[in-house]
Amino acid sequence: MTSALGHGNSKTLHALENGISGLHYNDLKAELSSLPAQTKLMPLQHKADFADQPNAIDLQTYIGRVKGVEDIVLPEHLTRYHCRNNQLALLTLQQDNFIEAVKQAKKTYGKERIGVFLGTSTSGINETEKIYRSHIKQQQPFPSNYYYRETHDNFSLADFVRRYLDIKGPAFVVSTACSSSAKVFADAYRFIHAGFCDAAIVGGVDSLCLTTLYGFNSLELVSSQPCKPADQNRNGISLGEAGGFALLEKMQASSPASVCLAGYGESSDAYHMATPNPTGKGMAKAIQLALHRANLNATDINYINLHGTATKTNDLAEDKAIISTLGNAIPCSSSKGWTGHTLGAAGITEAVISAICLQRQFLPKSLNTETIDPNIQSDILRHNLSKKVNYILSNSFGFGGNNCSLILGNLT
Amino acid sequence: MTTLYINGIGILAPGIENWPECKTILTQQKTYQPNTLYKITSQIIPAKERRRASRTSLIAAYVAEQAVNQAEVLADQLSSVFSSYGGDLQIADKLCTSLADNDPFISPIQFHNSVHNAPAGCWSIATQAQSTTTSLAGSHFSFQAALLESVALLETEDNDILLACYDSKTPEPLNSQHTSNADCGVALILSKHSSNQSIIQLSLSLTNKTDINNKIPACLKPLITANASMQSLILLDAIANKQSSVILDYLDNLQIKCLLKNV
Repeated sequence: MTSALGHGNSKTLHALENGISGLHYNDLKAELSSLPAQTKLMPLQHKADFADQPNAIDLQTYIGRVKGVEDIVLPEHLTRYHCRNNQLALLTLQQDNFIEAVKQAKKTYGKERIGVFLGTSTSGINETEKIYRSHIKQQQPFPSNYYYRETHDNFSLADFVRRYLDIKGPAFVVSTACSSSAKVFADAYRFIHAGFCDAAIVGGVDSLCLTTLYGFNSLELVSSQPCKPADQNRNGISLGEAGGFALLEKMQASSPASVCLAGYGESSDAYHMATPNPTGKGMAKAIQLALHRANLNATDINYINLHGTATKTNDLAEDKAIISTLGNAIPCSSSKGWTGHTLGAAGITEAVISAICLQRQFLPKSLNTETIDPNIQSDILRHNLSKKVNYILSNSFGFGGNNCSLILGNLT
Repeated sequence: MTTLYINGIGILAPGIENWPECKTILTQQKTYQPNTLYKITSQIIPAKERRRASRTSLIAAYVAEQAVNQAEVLADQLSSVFSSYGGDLQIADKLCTSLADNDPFISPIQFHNSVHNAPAGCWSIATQAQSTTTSLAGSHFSFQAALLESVALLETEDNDILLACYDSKTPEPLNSQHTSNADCGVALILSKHSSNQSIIQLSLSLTNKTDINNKIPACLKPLITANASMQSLILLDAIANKQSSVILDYLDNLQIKCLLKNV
């Protein structure tokens, strides 16, 4: 997994253990002019992606940007797929020995028997944003090296990963906003269960773009400070970008895996396009279904990785859902203060963080949370904790009221 | 091999307003005339929501409503699989145009309608369906992806499934990218159980490349490439003409083999 915390899982763990946030002041404008006075955090090494949009990136906010995405070069036969999202996908694939694990799976199952199910919300829309500025606004047609299908299009991500890894099984992209890359775990289970494949590559990638920065800003959901999940003074999200992948296969005694998918639950709020049901009913349903599928009780869950976006409404509704299904005794924290809200990649980012927690028997605190909202009753972690952890629940909730809860289990 | 029943069909395309009409065209009892679209009038979406909904969401709701009515099922009891190639490129065009300005202004409603799962969100709010719902993108094979996902869902959940696949016509200048050049949608109600409304029994499996010889009328062939949802016409043609099997192309060498049995 790769996020603003670093490239790969060991850098992620290092940042979590040492309390190092991936968020920094929005430096996108700084690509053209000098850095704003209030930040000296980022060197001027980033090129290309935002440099030709000088005024469109002047938001007073903090972002979780992955270093070095712009420097990633796609292989020659896939240059049409060049966009920030696929660059981040490739950078992520190159971490954590993932490519080697896929090679082994191909040997075991055959490349036709491996599925690819990935989540994204905006894919490579950044390419189209750039071309609208450089060409369309100037009344010029798309340049001949603009390829919608290979960049902006949602399926581009799965298409690129499938081609890069030479996988030939069934594939699609799930795009249910911020629950996208949690739901792909359910897809892997379903497709293996239905016999459509024997193993599956799941995960997701979402990269920073103006659509989401300005879109969430238009909804007045973007914080001017680093986001503060569950804090009484929280006032919105910090946007981030991330990529993550996991290889799923049937449970086997011989498997080297140390973590399993124990359950999942999916539901729909049927309430509002951009606001969760304040009662938390839809979220609670997803949690209950995950417990039911995992055949577990509330007391079996040792930690909850919250969706915890740090908006007023999400954190309260999620708290109600947790209290009604799991009670107030389970340690909880949100990863958003660490990575920012990585949207379509939030599900996989937080599933991988949960997997790291299971492997290391370690729980990260809710970073940036100073004074817990008195209306929040869950046990929000204020400090990192070493603890015996067997099962972790990870929540992901998206626009359109789309909810997904995963339960990951420790196999060791 | 998974066996299921299709208990309802909804369809919308230029010159095709519903399944009975589609069937008469596929069986060549009626000449296909690709007129401009009929008015898209979803009854199930309340007027207030309808005004705020995008054209893409309305197409999805329109075909979904047809299928639900035909299957005589309750919309709030269904799980659902929504699928589309481009999502909402009309909105993407507006957003990218605004973002090219020096002082970009984005409408909040337009932004939340821009998400790929906006049609699913709109439908669930209107019908109060609170079960599993997903929204897929599979490029030209978005219908095939939705079909596989629906079958996989049927294998792991008890609910009947609403499958809806749709794309609105891509506006200029993005229409140069050959995504969708007509407003089209298709919806199916899929169930493990037959009912009085069952149209066909379907057994489905993944297979590798074999020769395809679909007999779809030549006049409909342009529709199949005009909009990803119209790949469904190959399956619908087999149903209308009582064929015993049909093969749908999927990615690379993959294909979906469908065995059909009348009920």
